[in-house]
Amino acid sequence: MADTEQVRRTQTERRDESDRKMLAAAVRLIGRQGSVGTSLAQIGVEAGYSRGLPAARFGTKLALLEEVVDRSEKAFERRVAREIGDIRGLKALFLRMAAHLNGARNDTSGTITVYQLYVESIGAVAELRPRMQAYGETYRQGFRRHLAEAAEAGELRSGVDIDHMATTILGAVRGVIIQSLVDGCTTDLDVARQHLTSTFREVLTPRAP
Amino acid sequence: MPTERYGSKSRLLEAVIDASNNWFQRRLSARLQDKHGLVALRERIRAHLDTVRESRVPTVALFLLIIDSAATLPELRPRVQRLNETWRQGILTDLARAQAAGDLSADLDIESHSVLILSAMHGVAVQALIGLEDAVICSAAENIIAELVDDLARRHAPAT
Repeated sequence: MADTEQVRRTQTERRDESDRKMLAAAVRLIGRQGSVGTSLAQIGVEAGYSRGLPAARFGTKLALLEEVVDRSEKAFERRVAREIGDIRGLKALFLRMAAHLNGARNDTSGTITVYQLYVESIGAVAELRPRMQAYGETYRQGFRRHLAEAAEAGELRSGVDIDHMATTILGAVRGVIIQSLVDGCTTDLDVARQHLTSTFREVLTPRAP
Repeated sequence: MPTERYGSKSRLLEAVIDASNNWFQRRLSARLQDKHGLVALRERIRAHLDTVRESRVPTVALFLLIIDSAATLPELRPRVQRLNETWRQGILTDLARAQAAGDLSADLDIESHSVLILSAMHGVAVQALIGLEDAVICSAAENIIAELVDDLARRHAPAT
């Protein structure tokens, strides 16, 4: 019985490891050549497995791409849990901005891959669009939640439309990341974060009398 | 034919970026005419996001090239950087004229603020391309104007 459990656990571990390697290979290849130019067979070989393993494991390329997005979303959730924890309101909002920018700085190839998938979902990989829309909306809702907490705590100036503001904040964060990717990461994301934070603090908080 | 005309794929793609930007600059000039400062900046933001709404296919092509320049087509990066800089300089000029006209105080860091406004427009454009409705794109432009231009102008109005 113990031996069977040991074997089963080992098989599960092996499967997890091969999944992880295939998804990491997918991120590398998509970052280099886009998802349109990347086949499931290439991903298998790049990961050190057979050409057929990705298809056997994920079924379709779309399912694999969705898994790449799912893992990116989960990694960001873990980062948020670590860096924000139970903090609420404006402080949490600024920490969430920082979490996006830190994520982009620490994982450039993962970030490039996600933005590739964003843009490809608009055109060549339209079947991925619902997943990318949901991905973006999850991030927007994160900002919206902190804005609502800030309003409830009386931290926001009157007249802030939290729904629209969440769109603008996510837009600004994304735009800074795009700028950084295009600049070859010469845009200093720490400086950008400080400016984002100070500007939105000014925009969001009541004016000093 | 494309090889004969442009020599390489990256030259052809640079020509696509140039044509796209030339078209946008003509459209922008017609809208800005003799506007200056904050009035011009508001119109510039609307023009950028109206283009996303009204010309989705060329905008998608341009954003594909922008993202590709960060990864799969690094040879395009200098051209995309120049394009970004052209757009940012337009915003910076409007902010500088607003400062010179006394509509903004000298304490606003207009270099950093031009980056932030361009970033917000880029980020909202990506969201718009993925699935914002037309009305939402219009209101996103007005929100950037209200939040990153008008509100800051009020806060950074020179002391009288």
